[in-house]
Amino acid sequence: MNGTPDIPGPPTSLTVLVADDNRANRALLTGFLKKLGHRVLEAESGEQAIALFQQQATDMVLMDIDMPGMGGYEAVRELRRLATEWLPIIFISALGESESIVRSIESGGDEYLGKPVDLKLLRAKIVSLQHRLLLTRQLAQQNQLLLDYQAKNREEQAAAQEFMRHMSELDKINDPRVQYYLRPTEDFSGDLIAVARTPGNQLHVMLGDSTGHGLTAALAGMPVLQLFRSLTAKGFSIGGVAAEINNRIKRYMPANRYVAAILLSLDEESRMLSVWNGGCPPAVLLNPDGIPAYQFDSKHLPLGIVGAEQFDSDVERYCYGNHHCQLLMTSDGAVDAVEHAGMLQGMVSLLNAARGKRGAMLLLALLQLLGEKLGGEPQMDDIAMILVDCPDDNAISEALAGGVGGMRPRPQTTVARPAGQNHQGDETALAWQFSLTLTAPQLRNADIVPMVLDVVKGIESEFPQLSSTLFLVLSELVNNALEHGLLQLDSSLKHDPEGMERYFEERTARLKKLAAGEIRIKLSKEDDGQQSLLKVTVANDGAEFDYRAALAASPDGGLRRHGRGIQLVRNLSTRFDYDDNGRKANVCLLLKDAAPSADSAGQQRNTQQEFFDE
Amino acid sequence: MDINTNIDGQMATIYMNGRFDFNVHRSFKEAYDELLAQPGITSLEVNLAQVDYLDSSALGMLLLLRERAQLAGKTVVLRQPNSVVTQILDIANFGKLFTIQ
Repeated sequence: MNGTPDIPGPPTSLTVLVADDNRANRALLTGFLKKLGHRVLEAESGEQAIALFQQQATDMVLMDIDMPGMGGYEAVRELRRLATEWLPIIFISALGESESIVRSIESGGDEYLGKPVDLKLLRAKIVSLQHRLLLTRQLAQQNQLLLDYQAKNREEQAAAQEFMRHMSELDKINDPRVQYYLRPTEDFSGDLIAVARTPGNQLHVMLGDSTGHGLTAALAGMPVLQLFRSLTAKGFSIGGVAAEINNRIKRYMPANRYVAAILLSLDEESRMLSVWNGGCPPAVLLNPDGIPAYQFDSKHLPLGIVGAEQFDSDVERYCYGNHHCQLLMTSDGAVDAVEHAGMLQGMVSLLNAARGKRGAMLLLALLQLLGEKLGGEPQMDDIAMILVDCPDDNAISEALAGGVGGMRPRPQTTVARPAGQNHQGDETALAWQFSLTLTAPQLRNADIVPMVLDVVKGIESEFPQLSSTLFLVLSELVNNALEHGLLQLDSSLKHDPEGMERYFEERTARLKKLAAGEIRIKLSKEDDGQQSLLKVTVANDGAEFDYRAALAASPDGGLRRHGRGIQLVRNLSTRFDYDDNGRKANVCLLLKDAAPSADSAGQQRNTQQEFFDE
Repeated sequence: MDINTNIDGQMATIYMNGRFDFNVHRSFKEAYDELLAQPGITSLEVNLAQVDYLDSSALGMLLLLRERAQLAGKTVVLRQPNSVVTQILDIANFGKLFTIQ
């Protein structure tokens, strides 16, 4: 309030309604009130008082009790009924003291004054009521503000909830390998679930638990979800995804905010799980009978606590072999709800309920247990559970054959079968070319392939179709260069599940210690007017590689992954050979839309068909 | 939850009890701010013996305390967590950040 007189608010000058049938009394009161600076409305009866009150804004009433027609008590009862806010009322009467005071109060009066009126006393009572009026009006105003705020807040919450629902993209999770349950304590969930596939079709799943719950927790989770999806789409390894998310949270969130998370990668080909667990209850692998076979305990601090230099992106790997397993991940809210006595007991109860069940039935059994344990009481924390199907050979082939929508086909290749050479004799024009040399420090820390893909994406408009093929080829060649050339790992280890885990442990250990060595990657795109070719060279300065043996190896020998990568690259490329005793791999990829642009679609097909048949 | 503090020479102890969660956020912060402001104190102990439960915001408060203490050049020790609280600290791997005795 700025004190300007015409602003309604604290009334220093009141409009006072004086009701008295005696003209002399009215004159006395009116004169006195005007002297005090107030405006006066005069009424001769109860009826007139009510009529005036309805016509004009009134701040206070002085009411005689004994009037002809409608008396004071009745008039006040009516005024109280009509008033939309508190109206200070002073009864003035010559009637016998205590009985009339009691009736005054009963009919709704605030003060009582006997006749003859003591003007000093009247003034004091007016001032005191004026204060009360001021406070009441302020309170009403604040109340209104609060109501307005509440309404606005409700609206914003609803909008934010809608927004978050979209951002979380929960409704877009439709990977056949994943089932989940998410129940927040409030309108917003601090528990996060995200599912995505890499360009190489590895399944990435995240269960996150952002500190606290409600809006702030959910808000903190949004960039985490987005980052998880975009890094996975770029082909980052699961440990790399964890590291990037960690660094981001560390940068933008205060020290007391973090996200406990399990990040999982499932390689259906080699039946290997890679898990990074920071601060979540163990992720438990259930064998085909629903009995715990392995558990991935929390080995790390939650995301967002330590800086990039201290962050540990090591994952725990486990090969589940040719058994159709399931992996259960839960947030601590789920475990807590089942057993307050502690995480371990809660986990045991959940796993007992899961015993012997699969898929949706398993989740239902867990929900039933949660319902019983909560017994109608509200949950203390957000609850999230994810069940990931880890298929064996049968499950994969069933899904493929039955078209259950289960197994996804291999990513679309954008290149022709390796049937011939580039058309000879035409001028080839270089569209673009770049090369990149990575030395030990980058090799130790960086996810190389996504980095290179990012560069290509920046310059190549055809990238969307090219992405998964290039990802597969580069991953294979870079991994070979690193694992055989620089780290000199023994790939025969990969023949059985235990060996496979040892192989990766060894890989991690040697990579950490890698002091020297380099990998050179060169990419170029050439266009001869008929075809577009992408040439990829990956070279290293490490050990020689017996590429002839690798190329000759049956893809079914040993664990399927072994030797298969090389075969895959050969299938995807128009040319694939090695130089420098296996240290340098050259691959040529034919881009799909290679026909001359002047050709019609039909001719284009013909051109490509001829090319295949050559 | 009551929070009491005790100073013994260069060492200050914060005693807590019951459920350590967001509701004690303000009083916990007041307690450690006051202790960290005293130049004579070099190490700070959070005694968890009487704490039945910690939630994620309590872990967040401990992280904040750790950060403030580091800035002030003081050490923080968590003492005597019961078995439930120990499990919670273990799952979060807080042993990598704090000395827990």
